[in-house]
Amino acid sequence: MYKKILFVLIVFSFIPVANSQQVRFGYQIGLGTYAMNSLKNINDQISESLPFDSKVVDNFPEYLYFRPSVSLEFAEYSLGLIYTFQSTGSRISAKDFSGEFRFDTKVHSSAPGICGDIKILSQKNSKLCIYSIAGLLFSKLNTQESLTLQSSQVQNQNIEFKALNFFLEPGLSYYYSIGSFSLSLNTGLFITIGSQAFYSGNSNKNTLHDNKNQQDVKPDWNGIRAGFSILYTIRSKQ
Amino acid sequence: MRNILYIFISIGFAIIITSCEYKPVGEFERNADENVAPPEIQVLDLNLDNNDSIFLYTGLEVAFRFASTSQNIKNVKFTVDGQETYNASITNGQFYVDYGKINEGNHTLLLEIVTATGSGSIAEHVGAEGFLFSKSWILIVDKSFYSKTTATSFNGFLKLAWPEYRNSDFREYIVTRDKGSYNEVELERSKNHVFIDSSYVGEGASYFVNVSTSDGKTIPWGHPIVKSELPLLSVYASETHQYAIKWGKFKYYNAVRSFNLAQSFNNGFTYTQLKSTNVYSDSAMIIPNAYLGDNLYFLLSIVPRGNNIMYNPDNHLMFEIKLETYTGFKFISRDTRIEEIFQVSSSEFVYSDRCSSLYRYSVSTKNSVDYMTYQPLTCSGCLFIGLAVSPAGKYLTSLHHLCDGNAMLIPTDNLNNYSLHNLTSITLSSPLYVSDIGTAIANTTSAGFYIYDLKTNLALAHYNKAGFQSKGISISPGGNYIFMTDDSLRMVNLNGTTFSNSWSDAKDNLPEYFGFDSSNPEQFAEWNGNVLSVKRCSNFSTIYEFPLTDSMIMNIDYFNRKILTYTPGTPGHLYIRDYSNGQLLSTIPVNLEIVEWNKLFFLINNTIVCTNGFMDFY
Repeated sequence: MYKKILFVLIVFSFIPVANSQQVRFGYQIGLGTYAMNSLKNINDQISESLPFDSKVVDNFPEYLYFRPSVSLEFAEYSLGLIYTFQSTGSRISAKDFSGEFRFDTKVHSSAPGICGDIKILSQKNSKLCIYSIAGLLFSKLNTQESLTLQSSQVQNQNIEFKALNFFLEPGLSYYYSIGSFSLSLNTGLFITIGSQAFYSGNSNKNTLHDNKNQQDVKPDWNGIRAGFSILYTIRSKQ
Repeated sequence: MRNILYIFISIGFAIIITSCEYKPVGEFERNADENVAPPEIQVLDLNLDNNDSIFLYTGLEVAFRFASTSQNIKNVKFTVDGQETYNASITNGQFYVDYGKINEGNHTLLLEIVTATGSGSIAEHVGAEGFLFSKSWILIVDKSFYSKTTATSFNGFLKLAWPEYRNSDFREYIVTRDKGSYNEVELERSKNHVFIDSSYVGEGASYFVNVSTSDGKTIPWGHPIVKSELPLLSVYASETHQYAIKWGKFKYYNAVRSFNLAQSFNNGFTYTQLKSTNVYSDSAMIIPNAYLGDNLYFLLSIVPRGNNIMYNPDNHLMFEIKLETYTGFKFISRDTRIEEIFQVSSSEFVYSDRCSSLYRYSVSTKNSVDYMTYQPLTCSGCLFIGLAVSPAGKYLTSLHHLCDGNAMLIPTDNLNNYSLHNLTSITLSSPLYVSDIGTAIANTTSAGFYIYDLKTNLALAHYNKAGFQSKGISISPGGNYIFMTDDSLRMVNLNGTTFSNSWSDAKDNLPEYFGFDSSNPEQFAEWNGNVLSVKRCSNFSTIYEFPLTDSMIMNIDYFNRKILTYTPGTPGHLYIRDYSNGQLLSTIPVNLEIVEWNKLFFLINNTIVCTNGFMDFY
């Protein structure tokens, strides 16, 4: 199902290639905020269940995302393919003279999609556009629980979960062109769409469950995305 | 070209940046006190010895209760040789040390108590940190104590001794005695591991020793079984021909109130008391009116001094010893009668035992000096039938055996050097009277008799007087004279293969006793009931004679020139007389009644040998 959707996205994005004037390659680095509310609940529950006091010392903070793209640029709009890699994580920690406990959570997503923007204002070398990105959202969650006592590791357990959902990111972008290169600033809102929860192994029935709230834990990448892009445009010779 | 380069640079940069996945950071330093003083463990209850050693004689139920002055007790663990026996996170409880699963010997019992440290550390919270208190004991598993109880005699009493119970929960030992039917009677409670049973007189007993512990448990500690050891009764013959009864050494003499000796005169049906004594050393008495060969029955009853729980009329047999025996010196190992005795030399005789063995016994050395047995695989029953001895005792013959048909010639100086002879062609009708040269009279049922050389298996001569049953009844040591009957009583001389008459008389005048003299082969003794005459074989002339009016001649010891006679009475008497003149040499009273067909006594070199297996010396 998901492969079919991806295939449709790619086909649609290259329909206008025949009429395009320019091809633009871009690479965006940005900072995202990540809600991850369900995982934060899980962290709280783990921390409460420990026989000793502990703290969530790192709780899915904002972190860099990376976004390469290629698009066809027309006079008033552009359309292309884009890939987004984003990650964040958390840690529950307790440490004293006798040892250390850690519960680390690392979550990242790989999100291929289609992107497009429409020019709303322009001057000599600059323009302001509204953009939108939509695509698949492959999320992976790794948890690592370790207990070290008197320098001896007495517990070390890793569990991997995954989930597949969709996303949508609308926003504004500003471009400034210098020859074939362009610089861009953009800001948008990342919205996670879909209902699949994290699961382990090959069966999506082995879901990560929030016992306290009686719900399965889903990836929650919702948040603000603010990025800076470098773009290179190849113009066609006519 | 440049554009393509830019594209690759951009892609490579993208890959590098993308690899920068978020890594969680930070740590929370907890408050924990590393320097906490350990608590003091209080033992509120523990039923194990404070000593370093615990003796395990049975399964052990260990109950414990501990308390800590400050930090909580987290875990209590008992191990035996490192193997966990009990492990729990409670401060009081109990567990079982399984005696059956631990080998005999020394083991280590280890108690470990773990308390919290109070540091509040992660390790403490996960149970990996605590104060450890331990105590170990040597666990001595004894699995052999039950068999170590001994029963011995001590100062004339039965003494039971058992290994000491060495745990501190000891209260006392309980000694009981089995009265039968699962009925035990308690004899003593004591802290000593020795018990003297002053009532036990050797009747046989079964005791139980139990250990009673302070918590009310009873541990089976020993089960000594004492076999009956009443004194042995025996009859002794003295040089003065008196017979004494005596009971032997006795372990439990001090426990006896009295020894009561009784004798039966009706083959053991009833007994009459002979003696009662409470003096241990007074253990013998001369048997009144006992004479050689008497069959005696005695009963010794032991009366305990103390309160013996088994001493009652129902159990009287436990306290009694019976003896059936004969007077005299015993020369056979078994209590049995023998059929016949054959003198074979001046001091030796041969007797058969159980029909399949022959013994040669020396009265001078008082020992068996030769032995043979004959038991063909296919034969059973009595194999020596119709035994006869040569006048000088050199050979013994046996009629052909019922199963293999063989007659036997046995040299008496070497019983095992016997030879077998198939005489089935001659239907024998009486013993093979044999001479000292190995020739024998082979009487037939209706064809007279043959003189048969058993060394060459040849018939040397045949005697048969038509119309009369000719029968040889004795042969001289040299084989040349045969005492026989046909129409008359005869002494015939065998010369080669022919017989010649030396003497004859009316057939009815068969002497009451007759025999060839082993020491004088040409002499023949005959007794007519009043006069003993010694005759020359050649013409039957009298060499000498003397009156002999005793009732019966038992035998004549030609080797030693003495006669044993018998005259019945109450008591009857055996007489030893001089063969040369009939002079009385010894008089021996006897209670046994002797008849002609059952001569019980034989004189051999001044020894009277009785077929009941006893003898006496005169």
